[in-house]
Amino acid sequence: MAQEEQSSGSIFTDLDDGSTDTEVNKWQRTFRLWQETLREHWGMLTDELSVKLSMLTVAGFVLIAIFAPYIATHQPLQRQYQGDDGILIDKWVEPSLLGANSEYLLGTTAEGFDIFSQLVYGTRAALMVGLIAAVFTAGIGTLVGLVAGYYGGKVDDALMRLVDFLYGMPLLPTVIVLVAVLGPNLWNIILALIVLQWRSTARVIRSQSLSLRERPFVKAAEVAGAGDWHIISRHLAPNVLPMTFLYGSFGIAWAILAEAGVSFIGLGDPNTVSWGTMLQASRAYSALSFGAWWWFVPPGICIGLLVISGFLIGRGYEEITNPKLQ
Amino acid sequence: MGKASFVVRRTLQLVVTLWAVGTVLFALFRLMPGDPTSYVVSSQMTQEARQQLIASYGLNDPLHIQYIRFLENLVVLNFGQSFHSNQPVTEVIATYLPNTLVLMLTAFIVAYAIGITLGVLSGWYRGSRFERSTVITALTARSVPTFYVGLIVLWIFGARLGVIPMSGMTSLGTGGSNAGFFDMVFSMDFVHHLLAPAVVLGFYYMGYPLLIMRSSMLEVLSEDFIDVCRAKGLKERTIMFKHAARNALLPIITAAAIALGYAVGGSVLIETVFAWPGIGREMVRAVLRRDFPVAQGTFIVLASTIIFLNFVADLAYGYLDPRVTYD
Amino acid sequence: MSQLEVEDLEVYYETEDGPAQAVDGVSFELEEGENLGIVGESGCGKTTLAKAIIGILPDAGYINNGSINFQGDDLTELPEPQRRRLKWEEISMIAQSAMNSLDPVYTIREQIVEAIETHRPGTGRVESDKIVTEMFELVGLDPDRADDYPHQFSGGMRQRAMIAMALALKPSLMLADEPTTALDVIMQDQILKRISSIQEEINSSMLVITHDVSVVAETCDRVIVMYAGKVAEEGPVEEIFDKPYHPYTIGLKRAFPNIQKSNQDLLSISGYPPELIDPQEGCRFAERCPMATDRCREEEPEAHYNNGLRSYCHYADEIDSELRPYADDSETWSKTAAATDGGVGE
Repeated sequence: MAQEEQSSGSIFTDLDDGSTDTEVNKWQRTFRLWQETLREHWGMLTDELSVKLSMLTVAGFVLIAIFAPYIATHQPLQRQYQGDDGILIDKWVEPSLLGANSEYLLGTTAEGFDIFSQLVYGTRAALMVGLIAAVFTAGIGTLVGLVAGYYGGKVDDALMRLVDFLYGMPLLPTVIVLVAVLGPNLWNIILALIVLQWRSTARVIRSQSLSLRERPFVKAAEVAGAGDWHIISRHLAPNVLPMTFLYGSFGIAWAILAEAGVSFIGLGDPNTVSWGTMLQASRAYSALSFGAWWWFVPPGICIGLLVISGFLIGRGYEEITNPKLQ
Repeated sequence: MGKASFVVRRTLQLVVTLWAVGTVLFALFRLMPGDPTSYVVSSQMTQEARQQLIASYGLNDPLHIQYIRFLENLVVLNFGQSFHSNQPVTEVIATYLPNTLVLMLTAFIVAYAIGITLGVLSGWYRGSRFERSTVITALTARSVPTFYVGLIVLWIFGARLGVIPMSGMTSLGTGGSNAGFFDMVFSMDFVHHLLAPAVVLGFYYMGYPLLIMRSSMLEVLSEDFIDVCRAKGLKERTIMFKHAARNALLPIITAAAIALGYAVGGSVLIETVFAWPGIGREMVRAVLRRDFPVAQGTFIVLASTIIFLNFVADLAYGYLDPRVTYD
Repeated sequence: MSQLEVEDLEVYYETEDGPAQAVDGVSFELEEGENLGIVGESGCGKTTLAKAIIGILPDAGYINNGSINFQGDDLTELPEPQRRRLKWEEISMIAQSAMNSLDPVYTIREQIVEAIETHRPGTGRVESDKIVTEMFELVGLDPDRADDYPHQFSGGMRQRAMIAMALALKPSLMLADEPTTALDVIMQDQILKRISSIQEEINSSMLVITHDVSVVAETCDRVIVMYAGKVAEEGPVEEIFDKPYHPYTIGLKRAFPNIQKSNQDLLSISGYPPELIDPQEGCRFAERCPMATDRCREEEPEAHYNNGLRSYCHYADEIDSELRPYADDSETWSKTAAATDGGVGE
């Protein structure tokens, strides 16, 4: 068994040296603590093959989203016309990938939009919804959970009553109602998702926070006179971080699925193309009956890939938070 | 003493939550920007009729009086009348709710039965190929949108192979609404229509209990009493089910309750894809048509179901786990 | 023929980096009615040894070599159904009293009856209940509480409940795994006394696995000191604690307070136990031993017999002549601490 190495980046280096002239900023120390925690997690995460593949997939989609204008062959919501005259709309064209004589890789929709370009630009909507909703879901949930667990008492009661109430609302129907009331656009969808989804993160982080609070190292810090926020940010937060990221990853997955569902229903953003709106359009125009599977099959595959990546990364964190599962 | 006060307290919580949901709905529909009267009058009406209706609904009254009346109506289940069909909303609900219940219940029961069993087995046979493929299947089931699976199933088995009906709950001409509900439910035609949506919905539901059960099994199997069971010379199967699974089951109860919040969403989407005349699909249609009374009424029914089922799950857990203290 | 004869037992665990040799060639004998203690620090292999004897090795564990002869049968060769029949009827286990050594969702009575029904099917309700009552009274528990759940018992009561369960089928051999770790000192004393008296009554032998040397001193006739998967020393309790011959045992003894020499400073054996995967050559204790020579680092020691003690040290025979006062001095051990720089490096 090897002993722990005294790494040069130790957050206590200055104290150990005895050199107290350079006052290492408290916040610098907290920051480095977080840095080390994250680095440790990264190591454990990337050990797992499924996580590595998932991260590559997400990275791939991110690149596609960023370089969409260079990858897509046309504008996603621009009607395509036959030839150069611009009179007859190029609808229901079959994909060139399947050998048809067309200039469209995946064909066109019933309204004459290029499916491939829609698919490419759809990454933007998916990633925007997924990442923003995930950050806020995990962020708000963690904050609330930490506060509720740490302060306990009336604060905890009040916050958990709120969470209980949110749990009483069925996710998709509530999002549907909210989007209907606020107006169908991408930001409202994101907002509606955030309003509900932080509930699960909050509950879990709270219970972790509750048990962490009783640990000797926290009690010691309290006795030493550490401030509440110092304890929360320095002692509690880094320990709940894996759970936060777990729910963040799951949050990406849930958000993308929810947006797809809302769009499919017909409450999607009419000015943006998303994989969900593609599916909705394909159904509205009975692509199923016409057998134009190149329209409705690819968007679902894209959703599936991105979502399962989110889940697998989250499960990677699950192994960090619960060693018995390794 | 403990048990009784536990039940009483949970019931109180139930009522409070229901009240909270109602209040939020009230606020949502009334305080949102836009025409505050549009939730009760539709744009098709004449000025006169509109004024009459507004007056009769008491919309000119101060907000708090409207709120009290709203609560009163809620308690007696008076949700108003549909803009679309002028039917009382309660009738609309009564027509569509049973269909949803049949679909959701069938899918839920099958999904949980299969999911839990597979979860127990994959937790027990950790590291095997069976476990790996089960987990991947479960994850895929939850990653691909459920309505997408429905679309694919409809396309392959409906449009291409013609084995399943393309929509609806009953075929035209089988006397749907004339026949009694139970007569209908037990007809072959109904089962034929129920098959695809129930399977797709079940497939979607199954992932969650499977994964939870597996994690739970892994946790339980690392406990000391499992070693003692082995030392006692019990058969492996006895240990797996009587001891491990029984303990691992406890978190599933709470998990199932949480899952319900998402399960309803799934049924909404499946009903839409398969044109199953259920309350979920009705809610969506009402929302899209701006038929606020129906939208409000159906939403309240859905939310109430969730809240009530959470309550039942709470009680069930308390009954199943002897360690729960009724504080 | 002794009741239990373990010969050159090797129990390994499969790991990613190769087999971990948790038990690496252990031999000993246990007579009927005898109490044998097995002591050692965490990771020395004593729990693995116990699990191998009871037959509850995890999937990753396997018996690589050697034999476990119980009343004439080699347990390592016995087919599963016969092995299972022996479990609990002949060899039972007293687990730690930690919260989860009993299934939390069944009552104590249900769990004891389960053991009875498994091995004596058709015993029937009345007979089983009689046994439960008898066992409860034997361990000093109120038989009316048999229908309680484990979490309703205190730590000491749970331990007694487990003893009751272990005795239900009147086994010939009991294995007590850390029987007092979770208990306070007073409870410890009570439990130990009770176990001893019960043993005498039903004439069963017992293996006591523990890291607490004082428990062994109180309850056992003989003791095995294990280190890094091997036997370091073995012999009658009084002799081994009075004058041990293996440096490790000497160090261990000096790490505990001596009531007669209350001024004696305690020593600690610095360093960590060695790697179990691909272990080094020579004596396993060489790294931490203050008297180790080059020979110790190259050659594995054989058994040396002195005063009824079996010791695995090259210099065991010389301990009495010159080395004992040197080994007994705490200074010797702190010098080793400085030399190894506080720990065993990679």
